[in-house]
Amino acid sequence: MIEFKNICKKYSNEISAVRNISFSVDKGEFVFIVGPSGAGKSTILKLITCEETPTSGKLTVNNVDIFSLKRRQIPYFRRTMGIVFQDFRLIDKMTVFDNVAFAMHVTGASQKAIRARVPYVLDLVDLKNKAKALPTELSGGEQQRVGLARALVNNPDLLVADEPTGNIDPSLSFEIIKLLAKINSCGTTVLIVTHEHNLVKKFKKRVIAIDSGRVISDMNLEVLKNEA
Amino acid sequence: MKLNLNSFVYLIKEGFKSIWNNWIISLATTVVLICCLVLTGSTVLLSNSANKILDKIKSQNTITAYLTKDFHEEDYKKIEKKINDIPNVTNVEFCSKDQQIEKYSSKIGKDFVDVLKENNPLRDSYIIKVKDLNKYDETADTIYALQGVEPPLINTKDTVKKVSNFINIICTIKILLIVAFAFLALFIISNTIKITMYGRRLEISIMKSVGATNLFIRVPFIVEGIVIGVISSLISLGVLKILSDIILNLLRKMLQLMPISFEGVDTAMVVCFVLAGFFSGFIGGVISIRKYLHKEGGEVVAL
Repeated sequence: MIEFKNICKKYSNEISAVRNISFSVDKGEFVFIVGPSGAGKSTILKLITCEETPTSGKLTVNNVDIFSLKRRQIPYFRRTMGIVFQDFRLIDKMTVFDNVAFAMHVTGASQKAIRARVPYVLDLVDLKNKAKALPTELSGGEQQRVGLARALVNNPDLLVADEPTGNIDPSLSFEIIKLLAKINSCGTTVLIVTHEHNLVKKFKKRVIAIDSGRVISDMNLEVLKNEA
Repeated sequence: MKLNLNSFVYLIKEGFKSIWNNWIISLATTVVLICCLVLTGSTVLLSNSANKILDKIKSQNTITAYLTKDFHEEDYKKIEKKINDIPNVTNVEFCSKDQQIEKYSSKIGKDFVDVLKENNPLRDSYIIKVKDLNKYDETADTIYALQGVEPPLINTKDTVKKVSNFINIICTIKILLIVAFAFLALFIISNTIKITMYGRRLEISIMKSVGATNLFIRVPFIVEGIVIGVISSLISLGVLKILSDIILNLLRKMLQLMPISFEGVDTAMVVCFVLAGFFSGFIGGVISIRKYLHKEGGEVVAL
């Protein structure tokens, strides 16, 4: 699903955000990427979503070689994944329904398809009764669930989340990750960037630790738990 | 890069919604554009009217020669023969002062004509047709050099020259204004769209993250530019029509003795204005969004 082979990313100011990283994520996996601020976690997500291009190495995402991807192909490539942001990125003047439907409009979906799919996804994130509410009327956790619904509405194979619990109450963070785990159990590959170790420990999934742009550890807590 | 019908309808709606959501900016842009268009349109109308007057004067290709005093019939014949002998002259027609007064009877009333006839201030004249307009000046000079003949107070030759000079000035102003307007319109529309886009940069970043093509992002802004451009052009045509009707009516009343017609708003002008509004909106929309299309995700929001 995702394969990093000796990936380096240097920004124009000569700062290396990612140094010779190699790892792979299989279809249906649930992976946490952890590390301190400035470790290069977000750069890894940006490389996956094609917001940034690697300086060297080989990167394959959803069977697409990122280096061979033409600029005009990037939008179609992004439709194969869902992205969840730390700051939710919801449009305040749109209702919850419209915020989610927005992602479907982009792909050219018909009104009929939108009317059928959006309530289903809102039900999945337990927000069906808030479809007509505006984002400003929702709590942080609810707003993030709208963001999650938007990321899921086009039925992506891969879901990437950049600090999805960073802006919400710690008590609600668990619920969000639980929801992501539920989505993962339906077959969607989930990749979460976070620095909340408590959550990582609780969920016992595969954890890739990054520091100074390098992978310092890659272990599957689920396997370790089973072995123990 | 293709858009299907669902997306196209959605984007057109979004363009209109954006105008409504940013109605203060849209209104300000429309007002400024209307001012530009009315100014340019006024110059175009003035230039067209001046051209029409010049064409009318030129198309007459006649020289009017007034007689300095009343002559005996024999003298008239002598003068007429002398004029006929000038090479470029094709026809000479005598027009008595009474005939000239009659021409104005419909405008000034028959009673007044009868009064004027008793003490006619006009003079007998010859209406002389010339063959070659290029030799117009030369022929006119030869005629006016004849004894007993003098040019009219408003000399056609001088009038043509003056109107020509006036038209040249108006045309220069017209071209300068059209060029200036084109730049100004693009500047105003692109700035409006930039402001709208700044307000919608979060939306653009989301669009990009969910896989929107550049065309999909562009269309609502282009629609917005086109709608503002076309609405401005239509309103300015209405303003021009009202203004030109008022001014032309005044001029017609003031210059009712002169056989001059003025140009108002015509079909060609309507088409030109609508096209100008359309394209300035289109180009303004395309130019202003380029910066955002080359940025990604967080960079768009940070702009």
